[in-house]
Amino acid sequence: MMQEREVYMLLLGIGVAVFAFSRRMELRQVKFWRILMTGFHILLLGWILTVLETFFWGTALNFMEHLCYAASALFVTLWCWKICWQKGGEQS
Amino acid sequence: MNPVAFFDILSLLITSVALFSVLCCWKRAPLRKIRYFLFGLLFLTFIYSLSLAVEWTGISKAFDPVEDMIGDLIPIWWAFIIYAFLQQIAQEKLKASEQKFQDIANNIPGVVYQLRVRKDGSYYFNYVSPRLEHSFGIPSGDPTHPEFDFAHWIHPDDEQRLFESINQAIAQRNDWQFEGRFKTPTGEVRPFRGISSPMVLGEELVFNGVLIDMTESQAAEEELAKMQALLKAAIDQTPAGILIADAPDVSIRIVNAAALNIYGEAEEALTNAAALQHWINQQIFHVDGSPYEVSDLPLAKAILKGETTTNEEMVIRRDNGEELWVNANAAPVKNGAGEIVAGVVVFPDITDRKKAELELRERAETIRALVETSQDWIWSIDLHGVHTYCNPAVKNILGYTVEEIVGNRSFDILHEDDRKAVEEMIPLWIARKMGWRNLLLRWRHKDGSYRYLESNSVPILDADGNITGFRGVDRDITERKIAEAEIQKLNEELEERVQKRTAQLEAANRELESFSYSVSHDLRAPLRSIDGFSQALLEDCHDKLDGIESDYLIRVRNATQRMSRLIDDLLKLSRVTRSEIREEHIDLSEMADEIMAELTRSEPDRKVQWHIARDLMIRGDKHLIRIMMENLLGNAWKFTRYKEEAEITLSGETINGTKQFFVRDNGAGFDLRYARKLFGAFQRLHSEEQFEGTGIGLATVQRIINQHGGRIWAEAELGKGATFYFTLLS
Repeated sequence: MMQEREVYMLLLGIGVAVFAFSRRMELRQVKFWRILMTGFHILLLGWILTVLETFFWGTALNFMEHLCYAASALFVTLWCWKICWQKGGEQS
Repeated sequence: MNPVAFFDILSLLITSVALFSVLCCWKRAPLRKIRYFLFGLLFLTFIYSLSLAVEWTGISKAFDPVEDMIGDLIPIWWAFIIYAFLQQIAQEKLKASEQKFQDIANNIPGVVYQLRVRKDGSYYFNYVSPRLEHSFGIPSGDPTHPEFDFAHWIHPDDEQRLFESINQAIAQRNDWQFEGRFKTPTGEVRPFRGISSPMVLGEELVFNGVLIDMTESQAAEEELAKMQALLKAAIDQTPAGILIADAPDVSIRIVNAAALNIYGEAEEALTNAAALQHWINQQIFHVDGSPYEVSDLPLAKAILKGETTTNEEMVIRRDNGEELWVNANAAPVKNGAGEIVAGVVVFPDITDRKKAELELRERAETIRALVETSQDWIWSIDLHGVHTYCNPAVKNILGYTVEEIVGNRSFDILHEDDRKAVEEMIPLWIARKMGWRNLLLRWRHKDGSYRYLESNSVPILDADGNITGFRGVDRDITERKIAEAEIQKLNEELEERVQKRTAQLEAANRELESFSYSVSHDLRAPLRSIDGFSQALLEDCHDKLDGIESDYLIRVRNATQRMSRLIDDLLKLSRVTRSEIREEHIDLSEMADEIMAELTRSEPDRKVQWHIARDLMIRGDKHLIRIMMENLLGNAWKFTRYKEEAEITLSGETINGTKQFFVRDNGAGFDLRYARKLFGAFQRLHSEEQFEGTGIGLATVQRIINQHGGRIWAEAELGKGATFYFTLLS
């Protein structure tokens, strides 16, 4: 059964993605921005999947959803690690 | 385990690592601005993962509300993160921009400032770059502080003018420009130039501008002005004409005094384009007389084509028709990028040189023509006697062609004796660097005969003064030598004839002397007898003689005495002719004084005024001069006998370097028509009754004067006197 909050979350995520896309030229100046945005986009994919699982392939898509969450966390952590410990991050 | 739960637990662990990393690096620069947002995101993600893990592991449902609440916050937090990044980027941009502005403000050679004008018209500095102290020595502080006294640093003489200009710019909202001086704390005066433009910012009027230190610029301008003055002076003092024109229109920019002098035009005629065009068409010509096209002028070629002109001779024709020659040298002037920005032409006046060349050429041509047509042999030889030049006259003189002479040693055709003499003398002439004069040489003609040539030469000296040969002229005097020989022969014959004739004349003279002596002595004896016996008769028989008889005897005596005097005069004349002259200095004035005294003693009753000039000195035979003066003064005494106020003058003067004397009287004079008879023997212009005399006196005078190389002539008027002029060359 589709939950209302999942739709809100998806809509908010899409809004954030659109906003980020519109300011992509400025945001490219952020160090390792691609890694961070990859983490966000994977998270957004997870939110999409959680809405879609209501309509079909519920179990598989749910599995994929949580896989996306884990991957997203992994990319965000990787970004944090690089921004904190790597030389390129220090120069920022 | 549920695989979903596995991923959630994995997420939980990974997020924990991220949180740990962020906490460890909490104070690091990259995170400083976003650390709270990032930490919040990670924390929410951590809680969300935890709630999922709890849910999917089935441990509890207690986290379900948390999951619902946080699930909606996560995208919102991502939005915060992005926003935070954007803020950070904007701040960094602003910071970089400010830094860039500061760098520019600090590094441009001037003080950047912003002046804000309040509504009430007062103003203050909103910004002044730190270079204020560096440029002008004004101590650092806060120029933007309301208490900052800007006027304190302005030179007192400029203060009023400065504030007037600022107030005017504010009132009219115009650009502000000002040149003044700062007065630094060390007392140094630093010139500055201020410029700014107004703009309205909100409700305030703002002037953004810059103050530029003009110390170096002013010094540079002064140096530039000095260099320009020096350059102008140098250009003006240069004797060559100089024109400098700008590219690309070849407009004349600088004309020096020499150029104006050469052209004979005012400067306006050269700097005015239309006048210049007309002038060029009328007055600049090629050396062949054809006019110049403007584009062919050296200056135009330098500017328009970049061509350099060297030593191009041109003719300038002035308005008065005078033509001047110039030697033009032109070159383009290029800037650092190699572009032609100007052109310069330098053209010294070579008129004098060209005239000299022309004269030299004409003179050389004249000399060549003279040499080639000369009948004398003109030649030059080197130190070995080899001919280096020879004119065609040698063909007529010696029969050889020029080609046969030049390049050969012609001494070989000299007469043997002359060749030896010349070869002996040549080293001497070389050593003394001298030629020879009137050297008579005998040359063998091609036909074998000898020709007499009179040779004259001068040495040829090189630039160092070393002799390199001789050049000279030989004149053929063969005909003259032949003539001289004939004359010599004739002279010898004539001498022989003269000697014969002289001997004959001497014999005749001796006979004449003998005759004269005989006459003088043999005739005197009977005369003395006649006179003596007549006197005896008159004395012894005077009582027996009547008047007529006595008168006859008296007449006899007078006749004999007169004849005796005549004989005496003739003998005197004869002696004068034969006398040998012994010259000495004679004071003619003194001699005249003596004669005057004798004449006065002879007739003391006469009244005669004598005018005898002093110091009339001559050279001559004193005895003969005495006879001459006795005759001249005696004649004057005699012919003034009937004058109650008689005057006799002796004087002299120098005419054309010759001493000329005269004896003048105011006596009877004579008719000039008979003047030619005056100096003949026995010639008399008056009767014996009027004035006694034999007619020998003036003949004697003339002979004496002739013997002294002089001459005598007379001027007279009947009844008014006579003047006898004479010169004595000796």
